Amino acid sequence: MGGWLADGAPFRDRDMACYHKNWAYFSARFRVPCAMYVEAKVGIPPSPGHVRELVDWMRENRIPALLAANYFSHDQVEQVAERTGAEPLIVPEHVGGAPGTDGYFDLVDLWVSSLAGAFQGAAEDKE
Amino acid sequence: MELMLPALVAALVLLSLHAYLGIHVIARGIIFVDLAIAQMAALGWTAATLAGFEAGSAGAYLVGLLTTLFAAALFSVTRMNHRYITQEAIIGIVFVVASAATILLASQAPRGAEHVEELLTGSLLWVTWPKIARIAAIYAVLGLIHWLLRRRFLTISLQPELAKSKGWSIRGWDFLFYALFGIMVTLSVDVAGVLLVFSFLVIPAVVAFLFAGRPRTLLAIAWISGSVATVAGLLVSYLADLPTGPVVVCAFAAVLLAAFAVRRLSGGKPPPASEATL
Repeated sequence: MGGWLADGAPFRDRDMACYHKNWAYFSARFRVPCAMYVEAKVGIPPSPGHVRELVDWMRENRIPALLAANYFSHDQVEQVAERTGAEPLIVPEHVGGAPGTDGYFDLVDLWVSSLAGAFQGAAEDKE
Repeated sequence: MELMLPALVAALVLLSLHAYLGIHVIARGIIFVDLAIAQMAALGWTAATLAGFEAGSAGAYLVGLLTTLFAAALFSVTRMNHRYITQEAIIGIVFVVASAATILLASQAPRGAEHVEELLTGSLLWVTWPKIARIAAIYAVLGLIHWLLRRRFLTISLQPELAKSKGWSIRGWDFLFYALFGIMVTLSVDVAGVLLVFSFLVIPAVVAFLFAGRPRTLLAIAWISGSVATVAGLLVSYLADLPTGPVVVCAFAAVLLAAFAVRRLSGGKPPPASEATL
C-alpha cells in the first residue's frame, strides 16, 4: 500500500469537522467523514445553539481537524478551531485556488497531507 | 454565553452611534443612504480582493473607505432644490449601480457569491473582543466629532432653511457628515451585515420620531428602544436556536409595531420633524 492510501492512514475512519457540505466525494473516497458542519444549512448562518453543539462535540471527541474551502469566512473557521483545539485546515477546493495547486494531483496531495498532518499531530500530542 | 456576550456588546456599540445618525437620516429623508454607502464599501472590498488584497485586511478596508468617501463627495454635491429629483433618487441610483458593479466584479472573484451573502447577513455571532475594541475606539472618536459639531449637523438636518440663511457651506458640512457616516457604516456592515445595520440606523429613529421632536429626547428614545430590541432579539435567537442577525431584525420590527400601537392608543399627533428644536 502506498501513495494517497498510505498517506491517508492517520485519518482513515476518523471523524473530522467541516465548514460546509462540499467535501462529500473526498470524504467518502478517503473514508474520513465530515461528522459535523459549521454551516449546517447551505447559505443560512448557523444558530448559537448549533455553534455551541459543534464546539462541545469537537472538544469532547478531540476532533483534530476542521476542513474548510478557502473561499469561506476564515474568521469563523479560525474561531471554532481556537475554541476546540482543532487545526483549521483552510485549503483550496479547486485547481489553481492557491499557489502550488496547478493540477488535480497537487490539490489532492495538499488535502491529504494537511489532514494527515493534523491527525498525526493530535496523535503525537496524546502520547 | 461565550458566544452571545461578544455579540451583545458589539450590537450595543454599533447601536450607540447608528441610533444617533439614524435621527439625521430620518430628518434628512435619506433613508437608504446606508444601503448605498454600504454597497459602495462592498464594491471597494470586492475590487480590493480582485486586486490581490486579502479579504478583511487593512488594505481592503482602505479601498472600501476610499469608495465610501467618493460616495460622500457625490451625496454632498447632489443635494438640490429640484422639485422632483430628490436626494433619495440619487442615493437609489448609487445603490443600484454599486450593486451591479459589485456583482460584475464578484463574478470574476473566486468567492464572489459567498462574499455577497456575507455582506447581507453579517457575522455578529463571530465577532471577536479585539474587533469590538477597535470598533468602539473608532466610534468614540466619531461620536466625539459629532458631539463637538452637533449644532451644525443638527441644524442642517432638522432646520436646513435656517442653516442656509446663516450662510454655512452646506456642501462642505454635508461632505464631512457623509464621510463620518461612511466610516461608521464600513465598520458596522462588516460585523452585522446590511440588513441589521439598516435596522440599527432607521428603526430606533422612526420609533423616536413617533413620540418626540427634540434631539435629546429623540436620542434617548432611539437608544432605549434599540437596546430593548437588541437584547430581546439576541435572547430569542439563543432560546429558540435561530440565526442571530435575522432574529434581531425581526425584534426591531416588533418594537416598531409596539411603538405604533402605543402611539395610536395614546392619541394625539407626533411632533413633526420641522418643529424639532435644538
